[in-house]
This record gives sequence, C-alpha cells and structure tokens, in this order.
Amino acid sequence: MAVVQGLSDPAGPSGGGDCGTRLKHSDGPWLRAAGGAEELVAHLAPVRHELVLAHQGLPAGAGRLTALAELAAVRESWLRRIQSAQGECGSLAAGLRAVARIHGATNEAVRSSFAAVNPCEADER
Amino acid sequence: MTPTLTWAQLRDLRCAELEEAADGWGRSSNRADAARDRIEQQLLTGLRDTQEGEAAQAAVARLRQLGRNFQYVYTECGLLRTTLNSLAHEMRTQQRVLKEALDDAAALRFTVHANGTVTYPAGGEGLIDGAPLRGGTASSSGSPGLVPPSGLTAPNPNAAKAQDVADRVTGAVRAAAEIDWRYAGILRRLKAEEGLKVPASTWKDAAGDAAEVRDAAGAYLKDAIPHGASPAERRDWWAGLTQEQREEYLAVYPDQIGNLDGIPALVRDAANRDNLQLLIGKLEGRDDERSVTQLAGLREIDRQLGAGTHPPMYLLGIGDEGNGRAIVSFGNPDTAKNVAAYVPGLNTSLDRDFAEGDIKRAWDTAKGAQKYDHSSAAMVWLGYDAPQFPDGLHSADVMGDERAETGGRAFGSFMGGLVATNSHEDPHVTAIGHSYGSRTVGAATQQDGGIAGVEDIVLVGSPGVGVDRAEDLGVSREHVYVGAAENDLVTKAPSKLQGNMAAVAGPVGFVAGGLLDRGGDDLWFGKDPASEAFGARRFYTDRGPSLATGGFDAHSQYFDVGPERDRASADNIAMVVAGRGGNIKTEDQR
Repeated sequence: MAVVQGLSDPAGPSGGGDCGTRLKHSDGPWLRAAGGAEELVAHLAPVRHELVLAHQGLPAGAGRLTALAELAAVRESWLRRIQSAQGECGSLAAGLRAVARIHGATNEAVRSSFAAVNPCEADER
Repeated sequence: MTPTLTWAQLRDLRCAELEEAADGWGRSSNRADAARDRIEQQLLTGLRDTQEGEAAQAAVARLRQLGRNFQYVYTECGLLRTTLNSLAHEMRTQQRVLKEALDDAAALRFTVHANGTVTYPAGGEGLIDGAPLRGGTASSSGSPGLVPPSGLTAPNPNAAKAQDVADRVTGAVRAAAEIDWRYAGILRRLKAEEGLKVPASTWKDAAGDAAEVRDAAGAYLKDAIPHGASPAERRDWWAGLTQEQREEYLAVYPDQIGNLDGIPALVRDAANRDNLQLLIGKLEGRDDERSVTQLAGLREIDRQLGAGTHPPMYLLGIGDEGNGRAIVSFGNPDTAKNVAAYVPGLNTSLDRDFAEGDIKRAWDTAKGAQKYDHSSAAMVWLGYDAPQFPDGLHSADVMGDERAETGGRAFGSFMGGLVATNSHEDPHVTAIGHSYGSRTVGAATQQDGGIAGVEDIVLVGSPGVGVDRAEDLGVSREHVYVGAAENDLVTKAPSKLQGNMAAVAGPVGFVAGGLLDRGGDDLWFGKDPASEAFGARRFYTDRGPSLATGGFDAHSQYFDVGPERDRASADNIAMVVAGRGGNIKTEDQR
C-alpha cells in the first residue's frame, strides 16, 4: 500500500490503498504479533501455580522416594526456563509494538510530504 | 544399593499423588505446545507472509527460536509426565506384591516387623512329645530364625510360610528401592537447560531422554500400539484413546505414532516435527557419510517447514532407517478431496537432493492440482529404500524387483492409511510413480485388493511396472496415465530378454533378443507402459534434451513447471490429480 491505513489496519498489506503500489510493510501484522506475544505471557502465567499445586500432595504421599528429591530440582529448572520464555514473549511484544509505532510515524510523515502530489489521481487520468 | 525404604513406607506410598504431579507436567507440556502452535500458526505466519526487511527478518528469527524453545519444553515436560506415571505404575506393582504378603501374614497371625523380619507362632507337633513346636522369626536374608529348629525335630510348618512372607516383603521393598533409584536417575537427566536457545546438542540430549523414558515406560505403555492391525483398526484405536493417553504416546513414541499408517495426518505431522528435531540432534556431530547426508536432508526439510508454504506442508513420515524415510505432503490429505502420492525411484534417498528436488515436485503438483480443484493435496512418499545408482546399473537392487516388492507393500499400507483417515466419503486418490518408483507402484497394485482407494495411476519415466497391461494395475485402463519423454532412455530400457542375451552373446545377443520381442515394446520390467499393447493413456510430454545435449535429463523433467521448461507434463499430472484426467493433452502410444 502507498500509505499505511492506520495502526489497526485489519487486512494487512493486501487490504491497503488503491493506488496499486505497495510497501512490504504494514502495521497490522506487527501489532497482531505483539498482541499474540502478550497473550502468550498471560497464557504461561498459570504454569508455576499449576505445577506447585500438582506437587503439593507429594511430600506427604511419597516424600520418602529419592526420586522426589530430584523432582524438586527438576521442577525449579523448568520453572526458570518457562519464566525465561515468558520474559522473551514480553520483550518481543514490546519490540514488535515499537516497530509498528516507528513505521506508523514514518509513514505518516511520508503521507504528509506526498499529499500535494496525489499520485492516485494522476494515475486515474 | 542399600534400600532406603521400609515396607511400611512402600505400603503407605500414595501413587495417586505421583499421578497428580504427572498431570501437572502434562498441563505444562500442553501450554508449551499451544504456545508453539500460536507462534507458528499466527505470529510467524502474519509477519513472514506480509513483511520484508531487516526488522521483519529479525523478528521472525526470534519468534522461530521462541517456537523451538516451546517445542523443547513441550517434549521434555511430556517426558516428565510419562516418567512420573510410569514410576507410579511400577510402584503400584510392588505395592500389590507387598499387600498380598502382608495379607497372608495377617491371615496366619504372623507379625511382620519394621525391619521386614516375620515372627511366627508355635505350630505343628514335636516328634517325641507331640507338643507344638516353638515359634520363631524368619528373615529374608536367608539366615535362620532366632530360634532355629533342631535337626532332630520336624520343622514348625509356620517357619517356611514365614520365610516366604519375609522374602516377598523384602523383595517388594528392594524392587521399589531399585525403581526409585532408577527413576531418580531419569529425572535428574530431565532437568531443563538454562536459557532460551535449543541447539542441536540439546535435541541430542532430548533424543537420549526420550529413549530412556521409553525404556523405563515399557511396562506402563507396553505393546499397546497396534502395529499388526490394519490402518482402519489403528485409526479406531487412536480415536478410542483418551486425550491424556494420546499426549503420552506422542511424547514417548513420536517416532512410532508419526510413521503409523491410519493415524490422522495432523497427529503424524505433530509427532514428526518432534521426530525431526530429535533426529537432527541424533545425527548432529556424526561424521560418517550416511549421517552427514541424511542430516543435510533433514535440515533442509526443517528449513522448509519453518519457512511456511502454500499449500501448507505436512510431515507425514520421517526416519533414518536404511536410506532414510520422508513423506511430505502439501495440503492436508485428511481434508482434501483429491489426494496424490508420488513414489520416487532410482537413486532417491533422504538427502539434500531429495529435500530440494523431490519435495518440490510434490509441492508443484499440489499447486498445479489446486488450480483445477482447490481441495487437492499432493505428497512425495519416500517410504522405502529405493535402489541406489552407486551400486551400479547392473546391481541386483537396481535391476531386481525386490526393492519394489518391499516398497510396494509399505506403499499399500500407507495408502490404506490415507483412505482410512480422509474425511471424504469417496476421496479421489492418485498414485504416481516415477522411474523405479513406477515399478514400486506396480508392485503395490498386485497385493490383495490392489492399492486401497486408488482411482488413477500416473507412471512417468517408467522402465516397466511388472505387468503387461494397464488394466492389470487394478483400475480400468482409462485411469492409467503414462508420461514417456521421447528422449528419456529409461523408458526405452531394453527388456530382460534382450539384456540377458546381450550379457551372454554381446551385441549379437542384444539384437537377437530384440528380434524375439517382436513388438519392440518390452522394457526391463515388462511391457512399455507407453506402448499400444500396454493400453494406458499416454499424455503429452516435452521430448526433453537428447542424450548428446542433456545426458539423462529427459528422465527428470516430468514434474518441471518452468519457466525454462515446457510445463505440459506437469500440467497433465496436475489435471489427473485434480480428477480432471479427461482434459489431459494426449500423445500417440508407441
């Protein structure tokens, strides 16, 4: 599209302007990806509680097993790994959103500077 | 190893708590799987398909790494789930042994002590005075009771029973301690690696973890996979499992579920994406030629899966046995109305050439067919060891039927699976054989009932298919389509008669053998499929370059879609696949 339609462009590049020229950039996919990454942060949030809850009966029920001593360390290692992944989702979301913001601003500037030219009308003639 | 458990602790062990913990790991595994799915199906697709530039590339790379990370979490948490369930299962077995021993002791009014010794009461009769013999204590260490019976007296009958009880109690506790020790080791190795990345070395460890859990869980999930059943029976077996059971099979046996005919395509694909990573991890770092070659093929398949395709790619089979296995579909064969499977031939193995060339043929065929009917899927099926050229043209593998017969049986089973899991009542199924692959398709048709569900057969670059008439392939002759480029020498390979006479009598024998084949239409594996006598529909193909200008290239261009080549052959194949065989551009039979 010649000019990005706005931050909430739902159709991506194929739903853009009518002038026939397209940039390979639009905000929609970036914002959707950012939103998706944020949802993943929320999606992973219950993991710690779920795992702790699932193991809470073990000390009383099977606490004598050597295997359970290992399991505690195993659980901690995975909670750390999942927490790192969760952090990465949050960091990615911020990064994706920043790209959309920067491009949105750039495109707005481009639109202003080309407003007088109005290539669409020129094409139609 | 010194048992650290007492029998009372084994008795009181609550295995349900272990299973509860296992469920927790199952939930974590599922969350990771859902996260990976979200990244691949939504986040990556949205950016990869619409955005270009460095920012997009960087974001896609980071998302892909995150997706890998979740795949690793999914795999390992799934293994943890099965490990704990299996631990519970094995402990329950020992609890049952213990309980039976304790019940017996109670019935006999024996006392089982905390240390596992068993005290028994007086019983029996003394030989001299007839008085009951004194009681005692049995211990499973084999040492006699505290008050051993005199050699001159009959033993107290309770002594042997007490000994049996003591042995069973101690045996159960020792076995449980051994199980505990073994699973502690497995769990120790299932710790997460720190960080976010999942290098090949991590997958290598994961492959080792899966193998170890598989060994340990043998008793828990044992032999339940119905390998000997028909594809339809396997489909029903899978449908009858609970969601939890399916998840465990996928976590522990992805290699078996991913390659089992009758399992739905989406499930096979999910299992094989795991298999792919595990195989890459397994082969990484090996320096033998076979491993290096296969690894290059696997990496290229992995790259294509990550890149995203239209129609989407499904990995229906993957393996490193023999020359390697790979079944790659473009379009979901369970939901498509038209489904085609292409069997490659001579010299095909799981390597980079296969991943770049044969897979592209399937992709081009799928795209071509979808132009005529959107509900079409096409795949390449490397489910057998095709003969290899380095063995020499005259090797038994290349010139013989055995590879085709073995491959034909496997292909028949695979096609049976496709038909069993396809959602359409009457799917349109096409078998495509190229080169020696056409001989393999021919062999598949000769099994009982032919190839399940196949309506159309396409043979290209064929040196013969093992039968002399199109109608002997199990479909009517109008549904057998043959592409034979004029300059493709394989479609003009001399017959066995001619070849054998040449071997015996040189050029004279070759000519004499040719004279005996009066129609001039016999090839190595039977009648030339392009011949009038064979009776199939021959479709138009470009002549291809001559031997002088292009060597054997004319043998490899049937699927080419241009722009530099005439795409008529590929278009004809696509029309047949889409169920439009009536529209092909024909060519006179030979």
